[in-house]
Amino acid sequence: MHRILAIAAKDLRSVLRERTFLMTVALQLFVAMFASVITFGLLVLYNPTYAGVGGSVDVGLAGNAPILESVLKPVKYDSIQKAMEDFKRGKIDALVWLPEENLNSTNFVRVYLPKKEITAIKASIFLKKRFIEYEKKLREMKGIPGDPGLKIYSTDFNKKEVPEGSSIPFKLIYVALIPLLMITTAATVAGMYIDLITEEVESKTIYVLLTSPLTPLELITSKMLAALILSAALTPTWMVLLILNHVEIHNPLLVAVISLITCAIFISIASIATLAGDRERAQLIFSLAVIAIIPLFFSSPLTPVGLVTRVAAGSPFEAYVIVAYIASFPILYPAALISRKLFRA
Amino acid sequence: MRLLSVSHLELRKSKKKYTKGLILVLILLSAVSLISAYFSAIEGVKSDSRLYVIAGPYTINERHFMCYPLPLEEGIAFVKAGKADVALGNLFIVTGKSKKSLAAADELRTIIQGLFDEELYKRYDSKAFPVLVSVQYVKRVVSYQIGPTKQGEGGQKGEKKAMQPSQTPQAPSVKKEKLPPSVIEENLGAIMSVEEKYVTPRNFSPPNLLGKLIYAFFFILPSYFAVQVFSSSLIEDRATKRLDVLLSTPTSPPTILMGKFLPYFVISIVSVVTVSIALGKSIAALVYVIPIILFFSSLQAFFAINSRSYKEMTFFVISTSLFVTAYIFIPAIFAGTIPVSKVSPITLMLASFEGDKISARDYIFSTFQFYAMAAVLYLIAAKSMNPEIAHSSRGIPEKGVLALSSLMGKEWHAFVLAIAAIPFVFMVEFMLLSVLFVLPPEYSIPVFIGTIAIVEESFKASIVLAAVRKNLSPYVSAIACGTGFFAGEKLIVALNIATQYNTLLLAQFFVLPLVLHISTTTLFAFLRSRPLFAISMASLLHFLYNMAVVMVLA
Repeated sequence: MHRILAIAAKDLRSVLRERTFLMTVALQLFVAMFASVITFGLLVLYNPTYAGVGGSVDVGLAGNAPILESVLKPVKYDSIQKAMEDFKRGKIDALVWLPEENLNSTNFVRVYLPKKEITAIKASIFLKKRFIEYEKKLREMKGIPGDPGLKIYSTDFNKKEVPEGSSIPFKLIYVALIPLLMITTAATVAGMYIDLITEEVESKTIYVLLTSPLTPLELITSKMLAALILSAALTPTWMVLLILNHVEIHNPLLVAVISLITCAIFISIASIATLAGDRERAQLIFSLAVIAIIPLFFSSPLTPVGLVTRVAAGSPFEAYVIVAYIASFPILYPAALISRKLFRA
Repeated sequence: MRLLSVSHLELRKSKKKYTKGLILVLILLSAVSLISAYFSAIEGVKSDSRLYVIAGPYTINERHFMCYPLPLEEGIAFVKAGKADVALGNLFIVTGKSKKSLAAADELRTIIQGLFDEELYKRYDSKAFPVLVSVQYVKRVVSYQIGPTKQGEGGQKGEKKAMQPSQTPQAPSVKKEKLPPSVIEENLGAIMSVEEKYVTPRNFSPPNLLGKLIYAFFFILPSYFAVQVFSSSLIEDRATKRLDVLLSTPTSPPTILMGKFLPYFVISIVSVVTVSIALGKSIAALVYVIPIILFFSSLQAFFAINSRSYKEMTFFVISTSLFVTAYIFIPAIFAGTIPVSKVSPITLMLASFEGDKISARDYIFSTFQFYAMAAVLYLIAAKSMNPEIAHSSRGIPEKGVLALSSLMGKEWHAFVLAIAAIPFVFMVEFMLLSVLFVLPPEYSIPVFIGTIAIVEESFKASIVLAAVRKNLSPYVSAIACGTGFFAGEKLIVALNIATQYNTLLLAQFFVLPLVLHISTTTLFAFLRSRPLFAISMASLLHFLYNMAVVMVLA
């Protein structure tokens, strides 16, 4: 045990000396920022007022469509050619064309939006609202209910405005960002495990180590331990980063446990990958395996990703699955036994 | 010729490593990845199931929601106590204050809307959908676009007149309305078709290429692996001193580097061509992917030669992959809306798949920096192959300075190096700009100006430091470096490639920036004995100047 700890401590010291640890934290920060940019992008696409590009839109209408006209309050054109000219000149932001409104059948509305301009987003948000209103009007004229008439109230029964798309940033944080930070941590730590082993093999220091009373299994255990300690240090870091960004993490201890188990799974895979012999091949096999696993992690609520999403968001979760994962923690042992073969040669 | 023999050597090494058994394992793993990706694409994301809790007399059978059937009052009490996110009553939702409650209400509303539409379709058939909308995007000449883009306009005008909105579209597909339009749920078939579609008003959404981004991943991903193997092989050669043996031959370092890269470059190209054929796209995709591969590989080559250990290398592999991916994919999210999205070749590639013609100007705008940075990085990497640099235990910035100093012979070289630094500065600043603008403006502007100052001063300082290491005159080099940096910045403005970004570079000023760049580098040269302190002081000066300009302008 003492020997295992000594080697693990040596490896961790070298990680600290190279400032790799600090850089890994920087990497997490980067992942978080990357995610916030995507969130922002999505928000803008759903609701451009977030980016300050909201405001009025000038819409042109060509064709004979009195009801649509009453809904849109557009600039009216008699011919599509004339309207298109104005649209091209930038006099109107969007052009709607409905040659002949028909109250008894479907109306096919053609919309022209400027290509590669931010106005297109603004205009399409504006038009979407108006078209929904138009649909409602036409439905009601036919005696069909226009919309479900759903209302949203707060708990004290005041009317509550919930902007469309407000679930997007929430889901991005809990369904994408937190799992991605967990996976990045696991992949980094497992990648470093491969390095810790292959570095000793390729620089032949392994033979020196093995002439000491250290057994191969002890050596592998010490490296695994170093990697796990690293992950135990990295997980709280990204959690603190998120909390500082006003992201609420329910049950942080359990989140950390799930993250640690994910690291253990990745380290086991990495450990088997080291059988390839050197860093190049081991890392290649490991990366391919990770690429294969990541989509699967997102495919069910019972995977570590599904669990961490719900635990962090404060939703109900299946305790028995977490117990099962904790119970599978010793998966590292058979993985270590298998990878022991590396030192036989 | 020597280049090819180095390539040959690299292949022979690989041949020994990649035995039949290993290749079988790799093929199997790739197949598993493909199957898992395909499975996930079809099944969609399910890890968000049972995320929200509904309490109340009405329940809903949808995977995002868990339901507690309760009388309404108790349901509302549950929401108040935070035990449930929303309570569902007869045509109303009661929501709590938390972000999660609001998200649940939003999601639930979308689902109910979908169910309502479905019910209408069942009862009234297509009569319940009196409005169907289709969109056409038309290019028009607008003042703030990048350069005059005239091509393609005439053709589109003709097309527009030919198409009448009276084409009979298919009946509205009600199934799709069950869920909000999302990237994940869009199946591959929908992503591939570029035909005009009519949708109900609720499914009418703003333009975005988000769905098609998944597509672009297929083009880039195999090359990432090829480059990873390349850098692994390189760091291994360095660690086992095989590289030193090669260096003792008359073959020049750049030739060795290129020779080693060639096989992987060929593999990347083959993979891109294969993906193009498999997805039925033009192999013109190559011209957009090649600059990315070159840049990515040069970055990794630089780190493979300069990192001190495998651990450090792994960190750089992961971070460069993320960084490059972010740089090429983030702008593409905004494709079709913000002109700056064109900095990424991916945006152009997707646009060309959509049938757009890409002008030479746009192509150069988005790819030039990649080619330039790749060339510079390969040069520095080749210089660092010198055993004295490669095997030293110094940190990467220090090694970078050493490699730079071996590139310098005269003071004016600092001028050239400063110009060569511009694309890197541009890239770093662009990334910073895109991640920092999410902060509230009262913070984002000073933070942005501060980081710009640090980034620019660090680049300039490393050049001046390199000159000092070479025993060149520190002050002459500092002036040359400052002037070069200024010249590089103005070159960008002159070529008018940065457009709106120019205002952020404060490009409209002429004499003052020159004075600024020279004075900060000179200040650094003066304080050079303590480099970190010197960089901080130079950055501070730079920051104060920029803040002052912003204040005056505001």
